[in-house]
Amino acid sequence: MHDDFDSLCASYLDGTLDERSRDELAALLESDPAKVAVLRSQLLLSGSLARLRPDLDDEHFLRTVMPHVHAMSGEAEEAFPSRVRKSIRTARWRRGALAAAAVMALAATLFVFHGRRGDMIASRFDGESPSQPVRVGDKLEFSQGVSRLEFSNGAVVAVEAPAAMSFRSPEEVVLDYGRLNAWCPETAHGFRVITRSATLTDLGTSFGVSAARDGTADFVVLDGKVEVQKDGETRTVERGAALRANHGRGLSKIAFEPSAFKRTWPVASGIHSTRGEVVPAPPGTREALAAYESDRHILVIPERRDFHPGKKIPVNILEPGGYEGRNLFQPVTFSPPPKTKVRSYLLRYNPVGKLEKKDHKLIEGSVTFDRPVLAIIAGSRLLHLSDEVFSSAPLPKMTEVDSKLRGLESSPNLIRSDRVELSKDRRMLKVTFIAGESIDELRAITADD
Amino acid sequence: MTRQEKDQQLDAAVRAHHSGLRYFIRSLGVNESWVDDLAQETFLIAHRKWEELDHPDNAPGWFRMIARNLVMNELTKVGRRQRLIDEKITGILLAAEPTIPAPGLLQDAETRHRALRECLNGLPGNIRRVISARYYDDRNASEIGEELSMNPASVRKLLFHARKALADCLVAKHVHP
Repeated sequence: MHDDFDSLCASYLDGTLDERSRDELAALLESDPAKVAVLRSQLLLSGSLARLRPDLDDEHFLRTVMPHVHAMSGEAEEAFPSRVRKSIRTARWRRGALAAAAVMALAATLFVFHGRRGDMIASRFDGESPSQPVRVGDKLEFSQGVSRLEFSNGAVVAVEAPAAMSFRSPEEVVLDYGRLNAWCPETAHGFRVITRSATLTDLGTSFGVSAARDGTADFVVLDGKVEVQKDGETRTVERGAALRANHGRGLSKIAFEPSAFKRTWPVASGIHSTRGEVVPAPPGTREALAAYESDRHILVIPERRDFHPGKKIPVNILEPGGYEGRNLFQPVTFSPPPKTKVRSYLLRYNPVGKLEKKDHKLIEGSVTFDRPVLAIIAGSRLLHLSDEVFSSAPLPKMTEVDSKLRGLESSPNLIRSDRVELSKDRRMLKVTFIAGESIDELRAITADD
Repeated sequence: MTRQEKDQQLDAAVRAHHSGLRYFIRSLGVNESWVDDLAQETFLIAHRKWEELDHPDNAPGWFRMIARNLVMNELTKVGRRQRLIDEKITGILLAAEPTIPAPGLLQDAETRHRALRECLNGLPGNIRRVISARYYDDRNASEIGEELSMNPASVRKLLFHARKALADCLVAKHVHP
């Protein structure tokens, strides 16, 4: 039985035409030029539909090809073309039977420019499991929890399951669906996240992307700024703002609502886990973080990262162990190792309003960081002194009394005093705060390399 | 011509004509996943032979000729993969394809995309879902059928008729499909 032309055409476009059917289609095309026109129309429409995807659109093609057209002018006449042709041939060979998948093909095209397929570009961390390498061309499905990806260029991305991502280079990932938070140091500026509806380019920032399976994508900027591009329209989004991209529509501003990233943001911020009444601060801008209050929790608030303090810092704790009473406030000097970058966190108990005088509350818990703690500052005076170096945000407005009571205490009037314990591996910090009428906080300085 | 002039001319020509060239390559039956590779290779050859072009205004047809030759070269190679390029079908399409671009093919890509989106929005939701699965999720008819409880042949037919409807819609808007 012969298939009709429409069915043969449909199978050809789907890449599922067998040899017998191919001969039938060829015979039909040869006998009727009108059928050739129909097939050409189908092919053109198919191409147009494919190019509605941002990762296959014209802008993307130009962005990918043009730098290399320019690069040719600086090379010997034959050098670049032969290199690229060689790469393309290798790419074709590698794609094999899966060549029909457009995403795979694009990744293969792009390796010519960004990195060779198979090159390791990131490490993936899932809970306590050993890290797994992530390579150019990988397509990963995230089925549970939150994974941390540390890229070779310094970018840190936290991905919440369920999610699917492809990796084209250290600078470019495709988020098919799911939610992620990213932080990009200077070395990773220009990092791109491509969704089905738009492409985000980092301009020095911390941001969140949430991509739905229907193609809708939300871009939320927590710090710095990003550029979002869709169908030739480009918008810059700055800290505290958000944008939505829909299939078939343009970009639209939406309310800044970072709470959807409450699971990924701490992980992207270097907070591995927390226990007890210690919890990560909700995601927010540095101003919002500074103003958070909670009667029930000690918030872990990320501060500055990826910098060298450039000078010696007076601190209170340098070594693992338990500290309370006077031991908690011994002044020691932290000499940041040369070329070592650091970051800091505040562990803050900031009650809503004021507790009644002489009313004390015991709160305790722990936080585990993804990098070792190098130093801890617990005393009010040293906290003040170090704000200038480590704080990335204005502190909440304090009364004179508050500012003196800001750090931890060892008052003889208290049955128990504040306590800090740094684990032997320097990653877990266990705290007990006897919180009174004011803020109680300490600053933990970790490595950030 | 200095090297800088040559680069500037090529730059402008690539920016102006890459979109039409990619459509042209696709219309020859080249698999979607291979279109950009061939377009890129076309521009590399164009760069090398730029002095052979009589005038930059003729670049669209010249690019097409290069692309066409590249496709024909592929047809003669032994061991090519049928899924990337089908010898028989592409041969027929090549024979029937004019080298000079039809006026419509030089339309602004954004105009075409906007019109296509409008046409897409006019399709029923179930058809849009299938198109989305095929073109945004890279799923084939079998995978889509499994997901939407449809026979793969019905998915292929549905896609065929959807593309036909979209082509008609574009023509009604005076846009070349």
